[in-house]
Amino acid sequence: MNLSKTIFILGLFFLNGHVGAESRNNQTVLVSDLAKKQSMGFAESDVVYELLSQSSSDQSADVNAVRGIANTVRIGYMGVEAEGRTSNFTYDTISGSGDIYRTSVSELFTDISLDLPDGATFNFVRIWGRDSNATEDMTFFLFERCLPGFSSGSITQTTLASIDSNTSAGNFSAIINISNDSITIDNNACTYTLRTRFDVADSSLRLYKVRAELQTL
Amino acid sequence: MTFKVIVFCMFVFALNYCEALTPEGFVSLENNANSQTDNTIHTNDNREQSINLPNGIISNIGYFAADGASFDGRTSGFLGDSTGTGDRKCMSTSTDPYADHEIVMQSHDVLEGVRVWVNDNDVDENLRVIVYESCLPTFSADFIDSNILLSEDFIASSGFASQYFPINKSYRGRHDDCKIMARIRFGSSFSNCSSAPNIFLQKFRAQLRLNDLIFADGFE
Repeated sequence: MNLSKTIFILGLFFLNGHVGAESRNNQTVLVSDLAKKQSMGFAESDVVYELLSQSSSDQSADVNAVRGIANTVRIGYMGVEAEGRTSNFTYDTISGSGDIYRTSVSELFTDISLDLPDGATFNFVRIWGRDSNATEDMTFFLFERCLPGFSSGSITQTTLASIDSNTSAGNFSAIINISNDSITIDNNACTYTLRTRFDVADSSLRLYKVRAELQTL
Repeated sequence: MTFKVIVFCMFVFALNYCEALTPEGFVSLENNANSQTDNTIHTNDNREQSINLPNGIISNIGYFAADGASFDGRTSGFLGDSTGTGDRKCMSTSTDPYADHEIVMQSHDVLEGVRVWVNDNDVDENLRVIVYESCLPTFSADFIDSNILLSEDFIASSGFASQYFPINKSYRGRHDDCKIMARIRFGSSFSNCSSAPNIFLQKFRAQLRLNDLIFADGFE
């Protein structure tokens, strides 16, 4: 009796330790595909949720920035403000104006921490860059990472959206649109990060700038 | 005739090559050779302490500050070191002497100037203080169009020093299309820090003029 109870409790602990807290967003799915996790720069043991894709009507919402009485807030970051996922990420610049491209062999990923206003409605991030590579792309991921507001726990990561540069024509500007149309920024529990994966280490893939767009009342 | 063409081509190449080695760390000027300008700096201007405005207008001052240690290399060839107090120096093994940091501004803030704190005992070398903006179209793709708002040496050689650098251009924050950045060059070389490995950037502070408050009955 005592042994089976102990095993049961240990089992619960094991499950809890590996799954972690659920995403605070509705309509998410736990990512269990290792290859998919690795494509986003995560390890097998990382707890990653993904926002289910919904029909979105806001693909060009930044052209019609003000909706209702909301006030549009835009916050931009240059490529040079990105930091490597690990210190193995090395980079160089073509223009010296804040653009970067990857030079490292082993590290593909770089992150930009988005400092967003608490309580704002977060719709999307617009990205500028250059992709002149016919076979390889840059891929962008928008993450929300949460911990309990006032206690310890494992990090719960939710991929809010992702997009490929998907061109080889040179300069591009694209929107990484949040799948569920929008989320409310929760700085009490969460942080927000834009991750870029450079599939080649040369100047054919360059990150210029990212700009988060939000609505505040 | 052929010789003249060759000479002309060499001249054009040399011109472009010179542009590619600007002291502010811009490697190339992309598609717009006229996109960078250097503004006259009035270092004796004392606007950091007082601003004279017409009656009826109240102007508030705000600041954005960053430790030296939070400056990121323009490329990963920049190798930084610190005493552990938040300062930053460029290691002699660096192959890039430039480090950047964003200046956080709200949409209608005006960048009036920057104050820099250093620890510089080098009598031959100095830090170069640079502020630039990088702009892209609001909604479409293009090259980055950059514009230098400030580029001046911080001349010091007796240790701790602090200096204010007014920016002779009223720049309003515009996240829609432009981003304003601070850049520091450690020493006079454009390609390494070997001659200036012991100059410390302690702190960088931007002075911002926040949205003016205008009172309708203040103009009587």
